[in-house]
Amino acid sequence: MRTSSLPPETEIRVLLIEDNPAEARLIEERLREVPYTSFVLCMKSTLHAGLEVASDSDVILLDLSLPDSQGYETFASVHAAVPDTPLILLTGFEDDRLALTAVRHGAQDYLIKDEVTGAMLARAIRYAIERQGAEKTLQQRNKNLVLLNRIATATSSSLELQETLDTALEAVLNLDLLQEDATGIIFLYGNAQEAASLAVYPPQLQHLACQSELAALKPGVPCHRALQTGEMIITSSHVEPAPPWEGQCLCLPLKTHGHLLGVMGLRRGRPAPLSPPDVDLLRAVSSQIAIGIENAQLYEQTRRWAGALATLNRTGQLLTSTLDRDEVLRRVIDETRAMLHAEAASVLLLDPIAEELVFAAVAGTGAGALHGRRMPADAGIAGWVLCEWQPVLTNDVQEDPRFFKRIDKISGLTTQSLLAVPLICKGEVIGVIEALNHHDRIFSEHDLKLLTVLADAAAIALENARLYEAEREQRRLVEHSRTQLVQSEKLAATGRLAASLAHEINNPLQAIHNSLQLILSFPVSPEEQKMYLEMADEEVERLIHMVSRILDFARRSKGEQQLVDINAVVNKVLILSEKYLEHRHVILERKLQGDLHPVMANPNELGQVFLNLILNAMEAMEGGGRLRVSSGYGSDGKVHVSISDSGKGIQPQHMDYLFEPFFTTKAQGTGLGLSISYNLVERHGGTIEVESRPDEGTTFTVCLPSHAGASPGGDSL
Amino acid sequence: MSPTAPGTLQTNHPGARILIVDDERALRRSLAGIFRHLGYEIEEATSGPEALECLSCSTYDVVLLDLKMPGMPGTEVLRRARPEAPQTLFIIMTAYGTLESAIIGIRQGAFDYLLKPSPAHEIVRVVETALDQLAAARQEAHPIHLLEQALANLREEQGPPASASGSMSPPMSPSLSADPSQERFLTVADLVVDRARALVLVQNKPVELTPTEFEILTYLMDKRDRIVSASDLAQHLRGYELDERDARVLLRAHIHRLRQKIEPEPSKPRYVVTVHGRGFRFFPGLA
Repeated sequence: MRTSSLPPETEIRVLLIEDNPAEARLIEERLREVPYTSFVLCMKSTLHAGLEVASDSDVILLDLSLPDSQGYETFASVHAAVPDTPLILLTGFEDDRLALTAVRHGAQDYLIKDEVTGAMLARAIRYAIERQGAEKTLQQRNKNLVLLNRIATATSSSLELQETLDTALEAVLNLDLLQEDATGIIFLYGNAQEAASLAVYPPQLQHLACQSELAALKPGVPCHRALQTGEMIITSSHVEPAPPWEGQCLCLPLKTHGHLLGVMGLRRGRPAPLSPPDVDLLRAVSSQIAIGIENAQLYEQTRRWAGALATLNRTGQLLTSTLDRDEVLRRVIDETRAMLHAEAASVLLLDPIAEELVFAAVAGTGAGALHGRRMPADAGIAGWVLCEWQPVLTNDVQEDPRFFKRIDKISGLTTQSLLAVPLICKGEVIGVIEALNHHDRIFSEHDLKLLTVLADAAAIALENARLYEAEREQRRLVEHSRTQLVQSEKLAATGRLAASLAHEINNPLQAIHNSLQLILSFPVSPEEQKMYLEMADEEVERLIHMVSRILDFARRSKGEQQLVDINAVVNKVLILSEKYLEHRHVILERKLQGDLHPVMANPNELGQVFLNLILNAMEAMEGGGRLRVSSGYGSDGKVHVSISDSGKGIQPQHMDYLFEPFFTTKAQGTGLGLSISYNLVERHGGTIEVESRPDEGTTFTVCLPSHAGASPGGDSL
Repeated sequence: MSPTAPGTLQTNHPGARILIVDDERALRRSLAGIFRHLGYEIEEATSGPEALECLSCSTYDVVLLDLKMPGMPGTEVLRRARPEAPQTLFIIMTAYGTLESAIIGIRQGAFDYLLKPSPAHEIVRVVETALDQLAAARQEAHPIHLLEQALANLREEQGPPASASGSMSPPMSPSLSADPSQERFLTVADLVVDRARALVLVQNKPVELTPTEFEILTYLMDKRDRIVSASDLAQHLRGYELDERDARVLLRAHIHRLRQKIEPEPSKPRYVVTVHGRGFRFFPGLA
């Protein structure tokens, strides 16, 4: 059967199925009359005989009333047997309606036997053949469009690359021009511009994908040629390799916007020539699949970037959410490994003094062996990155002359692929991040961009941690200095008591010495001996108490606060200074209110404050006076301790500077006592108030918040 | 009378009457115990008023008087008691912290002072010295002695004068030093020197000086109103003439060490100050 329109001089094979010999002869005569056209007529008188040769004719002239079939049934049987062969019905006047029904169902025309002329018959035959051909072409195109639509739908219905490829390949293999045993494979360019098979059809051949990948893409094989030339390759017969790929091979480059994405290889068992429409169809199909692939790849790329950005965002937050340097380092390498699917990762920081790179954090294979190791700052790829401020992406490290192979020996890792990015902060390079051995063998430019962004966040986080550490160290030093200063001032206060303390110590010492001398030098009675030894013992006890009292006061404060009975603190300070009071002829008036709520305080620090105020008060009373120490609640509800002297008072112009460091009116003073006292009280949430009248005296009042309902703990000084 | 040897506890004056005034019971009683075993007659007073009462009722050879007592300080007791008991010698007992008061006491007429704690033999030595002096004074005041003295004077009037020391000194004002030009105590700023004890205190803390350093210090202190040349100082120390340059060489190491011991800032001396080209001057800040 011919499927296209016939040229005018072509011989036309006509099958006439007519049971009436006269009618048949008449038709034969009419055909012979037709000029310029050669008809080869085959005549059959029964349906059965006609059907046997139906497929070898270009057109069939069919009488509906046959001995073995009648009416519409006759048409239906022939049309079913050879649907692509045009049918012209031969009818009488009475069969007009029946003929029209048949025409509606696929017959090309009908002729009334009595009216048939040669010219009419020839025209009907030509029109029938032409119409049938046109219809068939239309149907074919329609079918192709449906297929293309299916492929387009398939490729656009999913943005998952694998799903797109599988669906597209399956749809392609349903094309009529391919045969039932056809197989297909799609290769796409992946990383490093190497094509890798991603889809194979039928699915049961999936396991061949990897094998076929290398075989199919060997130089010279059709798919390889298609990739090389960017043109469709159609082989005429068998080509290598071995089954199931034998047969005819159709290799379609997958291109969009002139960009070659990969190749689709199709094989059919029986080689056959392809019509130009078939070739057009295959091009359209491959373009459609390429668009679907590009969409899926773009989607995949977008999704990867979105994922990467989300990861980077999360990583950035994660890195900057801690100020602990070690924790930052740990998070940097964990995130590096997770994000880049790396077997190992490390952060090397520059030690600018030693000019070395230090493995500050390492994760993955060989981490334990590398952590803390040092290497020259210009050694290895990391050294190069550090010196050049440039990242490095290499997927064949062993061939890279910059690679420091000793590191592999130490870690036990065989490095294949490597990414290294400088850590740059405030215009200075502080180190390098490295990611080693991608799980899929190679790192991409995309991975490099990710690591670069991560390195920026890591550098900021490390700098923050460094600043925080420096700040903390600074605070520690300041706190240490403050503690030292407080301690020095405390010792200075103890020194101010020294004269009276010497007196307190020397008296018992003299008594002890006397008693022992007496026993050693004279024949004393046992009773007398006992009496003097007991006396010496009492004095030793007295010394022990006194020394421990002084040491208690002078020892370094631990800075811990506890609930404290403020009166107990005041009393201890008064015991410590009572001899001093006595020696300076100062009369003490003590008025401490009982049942005061405890205060949250460091008793040692408070004791220092009270002693300082008491010593100041006594030194303000040259030649004696009256010291009043009282406690109680102030109008603000706080616990107040007041220390008043009857000295000469403070000059009004000095009042504003009393608590300033280094302000003093004493010849021997450091000017730190009141300043430190104020600072200590402030740390307890309290204040010191001062009131002074010239020639009447001065009152310092320490105000501290009380803790109602709590009971004091140990209140030692 | 032989002086009491250091380290031994014995008396040449058994029966001497001693009053111990101290508010510290253990100290007072242990000291009383030692003295009683030595053979002294001891009474004790626990405060200034009690001491004054004892002194108004009895006579004592020596009163050991604590300076720091509640109520009435020892200096006050001394001030009130001395006119009432001109024949009694007062020895002040004090700690380093109150040495200034001891000096005041000495200037008020106390015989000597003791720093607490002192070894028992030192206390006994000071008491014995006082008793020796008292005995000597009493002997001088004895009528026979006075008669002998008058005869000697007569002989002197007839013959050439043998000595200028014959004038009668007040019998009851004994002093450690026979040379009235030399003050026992020198006090300048934070520096106190007890020449009799070769004791130097800087800010009430005792400082150990070598004899040469001590001599340099006291010489410069004595001459504190003028500049002392190095040769002058060397002459005083060594007894021979040196030119200024050699004298400076001789003194350099001693001056350096002295400054290290007594100066608050040895590199910027305030006591022993070099006057360029002329010598040394003690504490120019004083002028």
